[in-house]
Amino acid sequence: MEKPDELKKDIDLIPKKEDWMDPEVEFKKGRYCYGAPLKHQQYLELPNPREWQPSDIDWRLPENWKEIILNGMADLLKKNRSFRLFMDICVRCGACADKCHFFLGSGDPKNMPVLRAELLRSVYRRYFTLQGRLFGRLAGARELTIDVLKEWFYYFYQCTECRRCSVYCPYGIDTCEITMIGRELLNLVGCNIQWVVEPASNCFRTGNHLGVPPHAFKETFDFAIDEIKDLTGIKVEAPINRKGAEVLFVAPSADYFASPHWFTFLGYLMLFHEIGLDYTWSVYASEGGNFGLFHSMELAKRLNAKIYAEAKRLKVKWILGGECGHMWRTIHQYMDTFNGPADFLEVPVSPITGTRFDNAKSTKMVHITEFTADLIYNNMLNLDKTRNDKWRVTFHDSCNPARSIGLFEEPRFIIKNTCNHFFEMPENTIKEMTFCCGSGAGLGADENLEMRLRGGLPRANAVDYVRKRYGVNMLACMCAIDKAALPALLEYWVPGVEVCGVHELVGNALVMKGEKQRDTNLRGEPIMAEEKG
Amino acid sequence: MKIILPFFAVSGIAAVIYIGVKVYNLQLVFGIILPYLCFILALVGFIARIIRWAASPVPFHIPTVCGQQRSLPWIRSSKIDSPVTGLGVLFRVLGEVLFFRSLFRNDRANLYGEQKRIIYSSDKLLWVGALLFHWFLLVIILRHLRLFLEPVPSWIISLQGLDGIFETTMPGVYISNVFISLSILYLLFRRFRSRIRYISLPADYFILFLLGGIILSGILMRHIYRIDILDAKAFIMGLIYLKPMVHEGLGAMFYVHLGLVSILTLYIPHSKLMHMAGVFLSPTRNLKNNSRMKRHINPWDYPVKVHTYEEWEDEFKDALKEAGIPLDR
Amino acid sequence: MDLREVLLEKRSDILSMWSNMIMDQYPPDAAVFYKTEKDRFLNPLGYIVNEGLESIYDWLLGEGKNEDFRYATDRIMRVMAVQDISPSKAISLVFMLKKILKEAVKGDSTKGILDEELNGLYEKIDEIALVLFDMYMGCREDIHRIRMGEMRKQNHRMMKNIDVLNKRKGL
Repeated sequence: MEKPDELKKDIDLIPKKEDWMDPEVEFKKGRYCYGAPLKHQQYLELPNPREWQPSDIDWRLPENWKEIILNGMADLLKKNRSFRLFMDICVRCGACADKCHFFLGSGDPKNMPVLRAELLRSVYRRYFTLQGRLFGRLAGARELTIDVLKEWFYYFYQCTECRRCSVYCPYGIDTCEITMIGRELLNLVGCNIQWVVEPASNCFRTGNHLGVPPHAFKETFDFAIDEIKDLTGIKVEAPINRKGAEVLFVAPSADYFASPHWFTFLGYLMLFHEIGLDYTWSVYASEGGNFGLFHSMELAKRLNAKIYAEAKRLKVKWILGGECGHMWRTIHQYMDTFNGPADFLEVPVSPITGTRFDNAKSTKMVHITEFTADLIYNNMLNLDKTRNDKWRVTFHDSCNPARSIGLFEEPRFIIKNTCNHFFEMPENTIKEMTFCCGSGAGLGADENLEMRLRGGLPRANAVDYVRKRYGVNMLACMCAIDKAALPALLEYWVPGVEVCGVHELVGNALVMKGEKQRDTNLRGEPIMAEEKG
Repeated sequence: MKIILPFFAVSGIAAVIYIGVKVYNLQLVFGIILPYLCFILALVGFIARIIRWAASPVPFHIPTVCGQQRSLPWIRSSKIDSPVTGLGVLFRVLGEVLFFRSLFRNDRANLYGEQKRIIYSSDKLLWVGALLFHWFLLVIILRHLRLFLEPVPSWIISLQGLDGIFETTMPGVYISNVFISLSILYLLFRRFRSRIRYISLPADYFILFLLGGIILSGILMRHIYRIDILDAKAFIMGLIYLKPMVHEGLGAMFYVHLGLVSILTLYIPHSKLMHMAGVFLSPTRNLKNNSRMKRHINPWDYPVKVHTYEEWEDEFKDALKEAGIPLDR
Repeated sequence: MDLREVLLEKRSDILSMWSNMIMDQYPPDAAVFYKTEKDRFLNPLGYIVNEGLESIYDWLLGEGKNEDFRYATDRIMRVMAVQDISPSKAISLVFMLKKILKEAVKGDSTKGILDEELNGLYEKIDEIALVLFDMYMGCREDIHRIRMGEMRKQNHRMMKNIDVLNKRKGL
């Protein structure tokens, strides 16, 4: 009779390695993102351009790749205190280990944030510290080999830069920084993924991530205007590239093309019409979301430059930004540094309420939920909550607005004023402890779906809880990646829960002057839930 | 291997010192040359490391925000977790340094679930263990100051009295010794557990064994291999005033203790123990959440190639005309 | 005492043994976490697997509701379908129970438990395996469907708009 322990042998699924120091990576379908296409690498003038896939045996690296990487490391160490510090001070206490959604969902120990950083740290020790050079492996140091590089690629493209681990680290070590540095290094030898480079290149060229040319872009606006007219009987204006407007509005470009982003887009248009905002859209700077941030600081800056340049050209007074995650990380923490000072703009003042947004007095860009919350607080909007009665809503804090800005109460205030049924997910899965959708930082590619489904499990699990407990059927969020990724995630894990943007709820609830009786919501569905029976 | 080797390294060092003093009378080497050498090297190393950190700039403003931002006046913002004032940042960093706030953060949904039962979470244990260890380490270091200062400040004497308040044996057992021993055993044993073992390096065990050795030799010296405290003080004052003298009355255990402390000092700048200084410099904790209020400057900023509006308009001129979007040129 | 009573009595032992066997397939570091972290939100995988095992077990003994059984087993299979394991391995989790059951009742054979009774359970387990297999395949199909659907959603509005445009132009 076999003992249960012995049975384990025939079900030994995942190789158990005692030591993480030996790199071991297998690129299996569904668990990695495709390499960047040559055309787009060339357009952005990235190093070592070539057709390439991570699953290739030969990565066709430049001959002196090792030298390039090590010089790059030395350079980045010199330029970033965060990098140097985070390499030196980790005590491996393990507090971060179970905070990563990819670890929770996959059980792969190299997804523990501490280990993700150790992948880089071990090379740092070998080449940049005395003890590493003297004692090698004993000091936790290892040679930089092709396999180590492949491992970097595998795991740095398995981190969504959500910064959850950084909340729990006693020294504030931020794996997002580590991943960004790791990706910068990989870029030096031309290793990046399609879902980062292609949208970045499209944004750089056309202004939006799909590479849609201006006339087609304009057409989507016309369609939106038609749809709103059908729905409300009101023809809204959507000025594009209009000079002399007071406000430039920048949204993530997925809002114009993707679903369910589209309904948030309708929500913006209706809101701006209703309050009579003097504003303009821009085709040139139509993408606020910054795919460059997933690539390198330099590319982030190159893409981000468009926003201020356009604000200056159109001679607006200040900028308003739509619902997006990484876009807001860039705007809140990087834009002023990248491309400021914005001395040609004025401190944002809401033309409707007169509220001065002192929290944005230097960057001069206001988040749409800050703007709308202020409108609602000052009773400037006529809202009919019952139009959202069909939905029992929960709110997912998107990683970046949460952990980079601290934008917690504004969206909640809006939701509570536009919906009758709002339910929070468990406390340790929201606000600064929010779980990532599992698809951020460029990992939202469909070829990476299995990995994303693993990473999204903790989030979905919390949604499932409120679904069962409160009958939640709608997840509101304010991030373009969330809106793209969560529908798939929920369809798999929590069927029956849909995803919307905060301003879709606003658009539904907003009673517009002179509107006709509305029978359907923005999605074209009947406003009231069908009677059960 | 990861565990055994550091263990033998520490025991080896201790044994060499013990035998060196006991058999070969190498007090001069282990009591005077080693401490001086280690101290000087450590000081240089420590300063060099701090300078290297301080010299590398913080190009971007990257605090990890853990509370509501300050935006609209009617929304209550979190003063410490999303600080906008220097005081807020100070509290935030002090919270980390003094109370390990982030480690404490593991806010568990203990009451959720059908059973609504309380579950002990291992990470709170880590917080307690780490806190006990660091606080009692501080007490012990302060207590040792009586050997370094003349006259001994009265508060140190009171602290020592307080620490030894449970005088059940002669000489009294220090509370701090008990707790630091317990906490270091905890910190060591948790590394044997699977998940932490996987991420642990030999260096992690080395430090724990080294600290353990120091604690053990200190306790042995107090309770078993007794030494004359006045001799010890005279010897240390000699070191401080650069008039080192070998004292015969001090046992080998004293030199083991001193030697291990010297090695630890030497090791600090090259190890993760630098976290003691690094925690103050961590850009995710010591920056205000005011990046939209005040521009942060990147000292190595450089111009990048952008796609200008003019280039863009030229490329899409026809499409723009077709769509009726106004042109500049 | 009949078999069912014995198994109900030993429910928690059997379940924890079963759960441990499944978790032990993960790297040790993850296994410890999955086994010990009791917070269902911080350890969704562990929670889902345990919940699923419980409902399979109860259903097997005729205790659980069909509805709960379907819900919980579907969730387990959803987890398994995105992990690094083959379908056969995913289904094998239910066969582990056979061996555990055999082991569990070994000492009790004197109490008059008949092999037939045990065989009856085994047959039921085989049935469950078939159900799980269907579920697993359903999950894989879901994944493919979602993958396809997602590609469309990325530029869903564009496509829709182009359709409308073509219709207007009479194409």
